[in-house]
Amino acid sequence: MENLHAELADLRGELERERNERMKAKRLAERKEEENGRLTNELRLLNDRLEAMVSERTAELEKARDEAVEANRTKSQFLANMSHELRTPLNAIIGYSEMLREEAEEADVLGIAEDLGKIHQAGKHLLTLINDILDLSKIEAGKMDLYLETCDLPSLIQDVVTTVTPLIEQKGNRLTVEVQPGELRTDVTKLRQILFNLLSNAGKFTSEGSISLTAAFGEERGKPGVLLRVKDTGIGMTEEQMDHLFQAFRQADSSTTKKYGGTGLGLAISQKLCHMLEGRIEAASVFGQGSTFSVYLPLLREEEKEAVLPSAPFGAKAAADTVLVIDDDPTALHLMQRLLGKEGCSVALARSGQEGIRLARELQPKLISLDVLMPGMDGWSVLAELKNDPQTASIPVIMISMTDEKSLGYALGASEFLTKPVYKERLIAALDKYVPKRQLDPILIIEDDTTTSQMMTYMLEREGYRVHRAEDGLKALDLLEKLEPKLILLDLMMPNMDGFEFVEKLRERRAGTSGSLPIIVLTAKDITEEDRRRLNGFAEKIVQKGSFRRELLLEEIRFLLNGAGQDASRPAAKDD
Amino acid sequence: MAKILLVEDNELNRDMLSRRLQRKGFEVVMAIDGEKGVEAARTESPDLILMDMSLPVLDGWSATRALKAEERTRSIPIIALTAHAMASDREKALDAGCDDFDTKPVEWLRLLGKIEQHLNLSGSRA
Repeated sequence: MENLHAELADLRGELERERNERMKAKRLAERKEEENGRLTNELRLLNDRLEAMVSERTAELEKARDEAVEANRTKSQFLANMSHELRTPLNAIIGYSEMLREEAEEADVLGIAEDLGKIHQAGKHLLTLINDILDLSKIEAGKMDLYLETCDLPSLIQDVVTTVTPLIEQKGNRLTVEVQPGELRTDVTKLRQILFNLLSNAGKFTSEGSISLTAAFGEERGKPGVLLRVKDTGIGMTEEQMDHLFQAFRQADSSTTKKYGGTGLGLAISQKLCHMLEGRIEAASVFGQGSTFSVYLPLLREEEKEAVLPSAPFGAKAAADTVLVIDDDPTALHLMQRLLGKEGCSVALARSGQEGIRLARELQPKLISLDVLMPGMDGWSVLAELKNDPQTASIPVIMISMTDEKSLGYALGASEFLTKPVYKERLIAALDKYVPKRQLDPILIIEDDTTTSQMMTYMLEREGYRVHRAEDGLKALDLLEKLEPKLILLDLMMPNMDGFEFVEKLRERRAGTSGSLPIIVLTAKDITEEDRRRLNGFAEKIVQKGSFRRELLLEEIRFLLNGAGQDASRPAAKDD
Repeated sequence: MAKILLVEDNELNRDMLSRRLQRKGFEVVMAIDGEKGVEAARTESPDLILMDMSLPVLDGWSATRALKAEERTRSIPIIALTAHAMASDREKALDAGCDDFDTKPVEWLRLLGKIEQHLNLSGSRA
């Protein structure tokens, strides 16, 4: 029994301890939970603060970056202006020293001549440095423009080689050149500059060695281009030196500048120019054995503005009565385009001789008008090339020149010779001779329904009219900036700008101009008195769609085009 | 000997170029801005014009356009002098009707070559 009591007491005690323990644990858990909550809170607070700090810092960094970008632009702008200012007095130093040296030589004061020669040389050296800095800062300020033209690769290379040969031979080097013939379209000045930099570098770091230049057309990642390679047997570069090869103001090491001269800008500029031309430049080198620089430039596509084919806005029979105008002067091109466009010709424009020859082959125009005085390939060379090519030999050419050189022109195969300024009458007389059957009466159809406008086009084209189409009033007004139709067929219900509004706008635009532009309204709408009032005086005729008779409409068009539309006594806007 | 009209606003450049041209035996007349340049071209009838492009009063491009629009002065060859590497200036000069261009500071022998070339050209075909 006692045992039982004792056991019971033990158990009770144990139970009590356990309870106590549980209570302790519970309290501990509560405390922990409390602590957790506090920590969580603290963490949340910290997190919030962190986010605020991060966004604050980000804003600061963004501001700093913007400021840095702006500062860099300002710096480049400053350098560009500065370089420009520096060159003006330098101009005088170089010019006067050269002139005085010549005078001193003539007067046999040789000691002075030599010293003046040194000033002149130093001046020219300073000029190249300034030009380099100017180039680099212009590129960085985004002020370097591309001027694309088509050039002959071998002649371009020959040009650079001639300039650079004295530099290369100075150190007893031999230059070999290998060029694949062909033309490419690029910025000639910039390509020349890249090649000059690479070749003069090769010459600078090689002595009594050989330098080779190869240029070949090829393809890279499906893009056709030209690969230029300059290889020398000079001092070469270590890997470390190669690492900052294309960085501005960094030469292999600072002693290089003292020993070899230069700004250390040549390669940086070359790389940037390559990038501008959408190409790349790479270097490979073995220290002590020589370096190879490879430039790859893709052939750049023709730009729209270089060869425009207006006046055939719907791509239809473009070549039928095409006249090709070759002139380097944009104003002259514009003028001819307007003149010829009014005479019912499609006009193709070329801004250079090469472009002109290419377009002549491609378009087979009825007539070519060719300016004599052009930079690059002049009119005489273009004429000779056109007449030598069986594809283009039979196309009549009108030569246009500042001076009267008829006999030379005819001897070379020109059909006509006109002097600038070109008088309209004389040009038209020539046109009549060579493109006699051109269509003089363009008609503009303004209609949003394709089926109707196609049907009308077909009908009119069969009758020999030149047809232009616009799908609403707005597009028609745009088109009227460029072409001058003799008659308009107008739908009334159209999106964007309907026929009523178009008539109003046209009336505003033509206020005060002479000559008539008859309008025939073609509509499916029931015309109300109000409609009639709005159109009154500006529509020659209102025709109901679906009920008109083709023959009557054509007769009306012929009648209006024959000038009867100008007859004021004729009643306007009468019904069918 | 041929007469050259030099249109240049910078006094040093004008003095230097004119002296060098004279030493080569050219007769040199000068103008200090575009407007005076156009006037001088009319009254002096030079055989060739060297035209700076950034000129006061009337710039070189406008002056060239004016000269090329006039019957009397149209055939006089104009060599534009433009700053280095300004492809747009060069293009603008040719667009304005200049017959040729060269850079400033001038590369003397190259400029002389161009002058001779244009004088021969206009001489033989005039």
